[in-house]
Order: sequence, then C-alpha cells, then structure tokens
Amino acid sequence: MSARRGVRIALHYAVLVLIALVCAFPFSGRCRSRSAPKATYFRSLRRSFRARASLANFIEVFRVIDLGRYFWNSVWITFWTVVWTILVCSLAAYPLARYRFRGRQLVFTVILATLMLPTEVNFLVNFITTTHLRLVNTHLGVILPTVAGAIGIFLMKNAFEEIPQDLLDAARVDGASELYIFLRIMLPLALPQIGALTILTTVTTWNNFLWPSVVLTKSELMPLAVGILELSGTFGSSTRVIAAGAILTIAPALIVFFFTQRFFMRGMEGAIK
Amino acid sequence: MSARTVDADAAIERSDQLGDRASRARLRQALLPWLFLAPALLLLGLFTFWPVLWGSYLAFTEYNFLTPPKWVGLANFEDLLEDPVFFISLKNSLLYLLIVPAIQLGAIVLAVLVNNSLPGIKAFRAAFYIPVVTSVSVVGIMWGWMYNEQGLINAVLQTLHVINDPIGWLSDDRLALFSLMLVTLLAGPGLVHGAVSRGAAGDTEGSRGGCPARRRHALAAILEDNDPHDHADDSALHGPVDALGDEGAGGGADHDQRRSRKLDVYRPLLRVRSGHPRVQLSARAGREPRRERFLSGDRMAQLPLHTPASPLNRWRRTRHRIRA
Repeated sequence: MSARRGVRIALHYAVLVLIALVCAFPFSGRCRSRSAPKATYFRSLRRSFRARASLANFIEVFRVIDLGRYFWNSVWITFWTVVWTILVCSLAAYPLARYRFRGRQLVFTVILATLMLPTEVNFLVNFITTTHLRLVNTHLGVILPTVAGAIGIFLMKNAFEEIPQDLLDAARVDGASELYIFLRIMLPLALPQIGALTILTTVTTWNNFLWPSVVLTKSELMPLAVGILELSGTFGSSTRVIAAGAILTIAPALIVFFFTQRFFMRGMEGAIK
Repeated sequence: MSARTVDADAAIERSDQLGDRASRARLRQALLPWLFLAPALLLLGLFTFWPVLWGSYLAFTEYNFLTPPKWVGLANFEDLLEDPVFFISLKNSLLYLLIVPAIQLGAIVLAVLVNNSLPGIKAFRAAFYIPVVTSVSVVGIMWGWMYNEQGLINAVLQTLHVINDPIGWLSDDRLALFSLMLVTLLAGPGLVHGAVSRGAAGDTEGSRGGCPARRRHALAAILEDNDPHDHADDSALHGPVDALGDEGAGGGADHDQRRSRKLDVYRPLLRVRSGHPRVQLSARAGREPRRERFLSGDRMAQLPLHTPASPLNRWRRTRHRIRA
C-alpha cells in the first residue's frame, strides 16, 4: 500500500518537474545568456553550458545603457497606478455594494459592459484624448486610463458585500458619517481583497507594454517593458543587453508573486463570494 | 413621565425647525452614492465609453489627425473587405478560439495536480505562473529567440538527433500559428490553477460545490482566456465575475479571522456559528441589500427625532419602510 502511494507521489513529482522545466526554460536560458562573456546566443547548447557565468557583465550592461532609469520608471508608474486604482475602485464599489439608489442597476450594467471590450479598441481615441489633455509623454498619461478597471470595482464590491449590513446600520446610528464608515470600517475589513487587487494591479502594470509604448516616446520616461523592446531595436545583436533587461523585468514580478501567493489566493477566494 | 413629555414637545419643535435642514440632508444622502462613484465613472466614461462612441464615428470617416474627420460612409469597410490580411487574421482568430480552449483542458489536469500540499509545491506553482506574470514584450523576445532557425529549440532537437535540419518555426506558414498557440498554452496552467484553487476552496466548506463548482470556475477561466493578445493582462478575476451566477455558497475557510481591534465594539452583531470566529452570512449575502437605507427597527426607537404624535412625523414615517 505504501509502496503504491510512494510510486504515485514520485510520478506526481515527475510530471510536475517536466512541465515546470518547459515553463521555466525561457527564463533559465536567459540567465545563462546574460552572463556569458563572449558567446553569442545562437550557438549550440553544449557550448552555452561551458561559458562561465559572470556578474561583471551584468553590471557592465547597466553602465552602458540606463536600465536603472527604466527600472525606476516602472516602479514609479506601478506605485501610483496601484494607489489610484485602489482608491478609485473601492470608492466606486462602496455604493454599488451597500446602497440602494436609483440608477444602480444601470451603473452595474454599464461597468459590466466594459469587461467585454478588448483594450486595443480604445487605443486610438485614448491617444487623441490624451493629446488634447496634454498628457502625452507624461507618466500621468500612462496611469490615468488604466485606473478605473471594472475588475477592481467588482473585486471590491464583493469584498464590501461580505460585511454585514447590521454593522453599517449600527455605525450610522452611532453617528458615523459615510466617509468615516468607508475609511474606518469598510476598508480595513476588506484588506485581503485590497491585497489581492494590489498584487494583481502591480503585476499587470509592471508588465503593461502596449499603452505605455503608445503614450511615451521619450526614452527616459519609459518603463522596463517598453524600454527593453526599444533596446532590441537599437542594439539588435547584443543579446546580453536584452537578456539583462529581460531578467530585470521578470524578476521583481516573479519575486513579488512568489512571496505573496498566499494572500493572492486568499483574496481571490474571498472575491468568489 | 413629564420629563419625557417635555422632551417630546421640544423634540417636535426642533424637528419642525429642522425641516429645511432635513430635506437638505436628504438631498445630500441621495447624492452621496453618486459622489462616491464620481471618479470611477468619470475615468471610465472618458477612457472607455467615449472611445467606443467616437471610434464608431471615426470608422465612417477619413481622418488624418490634422484635419477634421471627413465623412466617407462605408468606404473604410470596403477597403477592409478587399484586404487579404483581414481575412487571414479573422481565420487565425477563429482557429485560436477553437483550439486553445481544447488544449487548456489539459491545463485543468495540471492545475489539479498542483493543488495539493506536497512539500515544495509552491516552487512548482511559481514555475507555472512564470508565463502568466511575464510581460508580452519579454515573452515575445524570448520565444523569438527560441524559435529562431539558429535558436535554442532547433539546437536542442538537433543535439538530440530528433531532426537533421532546422525547422522554421515561425517562417513556415503552417507551423507559425501553432508555435504561437504553444506560447499561449503555457500561460494556461497558471490561470486555470487560480480558478481551480478557488473552486476547491469553496469545496472545503462542505458546501454543495464540489466538482460542479470546480468545473464552472475552470470553464469560466477557459472561456475568458481566448484573447490571444495580451496575456499579461488576463486577470483570473474574469473567472469569478462570470462564474458568480448562482454560486452563493460561502467559501474561503481561512477567510478573514482577523478583525481590527477597534471594531470589537460591534462584535455582538456578528453572529457566530459553531465556534468559528467568522461572519455568519445572512441569507441575503450576495443579494440585493435590504430596502431600508439606514435603520433597523429596534434602533429606531432610540432616536429623539421621531416622536409619535405629530402629523409631520406621521408623514415622515411614510417615507421609510422599516422592517422590524
């Protein structure tokens, strides 16, 4: 009995390892390529194994190109996007969850309708609008269109719906203003979902490529995802540079995700209700 | 008793004086939800709805950004129909639509495999999520390298003597689409795992979820993952929004057992069942909140404003429907 179970577990692991290798393979290939001193990427596998990894090359890339600038831009954009998104989405979700007012159903339907649209259909007109608002080539122009997401609103709505109505009624009777209720009761009680929204927005914004590349043309304002693609045009054959930039792009998102897996899942489970 | 009567008279007088203020307050109460919604609706309207409308108008015009748009009717659509690339991309989209979900059924199996507590399982989950969290541009570059004729995949296959000549993964017409689908496929396990783990969480509650719930969530995850464009944007949240439907059963066994200390004063209101310090969801959970805006029945009696006798207050009472 225990032998059979052992075999099952071993098989389990074997399949997982196999698939994990396939998924992680592009990543590992890049790790090797970025540190290889002289070998170009398009050599045979055996040779790339023989090339020695070297940290000096990694640092040299930073001196040659301003990857640090791209990284800082990514951090800045992501931070403000997350802050604005949480604010706007939770503010919008509160009346949708716990208020009865005329037009509520209409607002619901309208927000739901935005989920059907692929983001690409809006690029052109959004670019025109951003031009008129003089937000082209600014970080605000990158952030603003992505803030009010129906996903965030629905996540927060589910979070708020879990909080019993009696709690709010008691608070109102005790004289709490709506703002007080929102800030001191609803938001703290919805922290898991806020955490999930934070992580989701962080990862999405960090990897967001299309809209920033449309809005930004100045190289010093670009986030990582856009910057390294631009690099691959300028430094077409320097795979070291690209690989370093790629690692810098993927690593933070992956690390954040790895460590916050648990909160992510918990927040999403709460959202199911 | 007399003190109470004096109180009542003073209260009636005060409430009559407050008539104006009350109606202003009522106006503010009616506007409040819209105030909360304002920023989100403004941004949504400006960046999501306006583009749809204006874009629809622009589809019938000739527009070069400098001069005002010129109405040309259906000319753009005619050009589209004459463009061979349009039909090719349409055909590709349909192919994606058919094939990728079928492949993702395998992803469900994988997600179930990962949904356990074997030691080190978190590393596997992280590995599966790598394709989900990587940016489109990085993925594009990486796979471009791997698919290159002198690239990694061909190198591996040649070293293992599976093939003799390099295969043009991206240059061969027939292969290219499937090569792209493979990239999409690899993001599948991550997304589906998210959905399945959520379905399974509902399962631990002993609710009647079980396999149907899992299937529903997984189905939603597959259905929404048909967009071949930007997978970094695919959030697994489309799943729960679509899959909510009638799935009202409470889930999340370890959902929030921490509450802020400050709110302990409200703790008596949280009905506790079977020793678990978690909120007992009333039968109304997930449904429309109750009709009345502010007050539960017994709390009403404590308010000084509503006194029995005055006609003003009788009229006022008709403005609420209080549930005892």
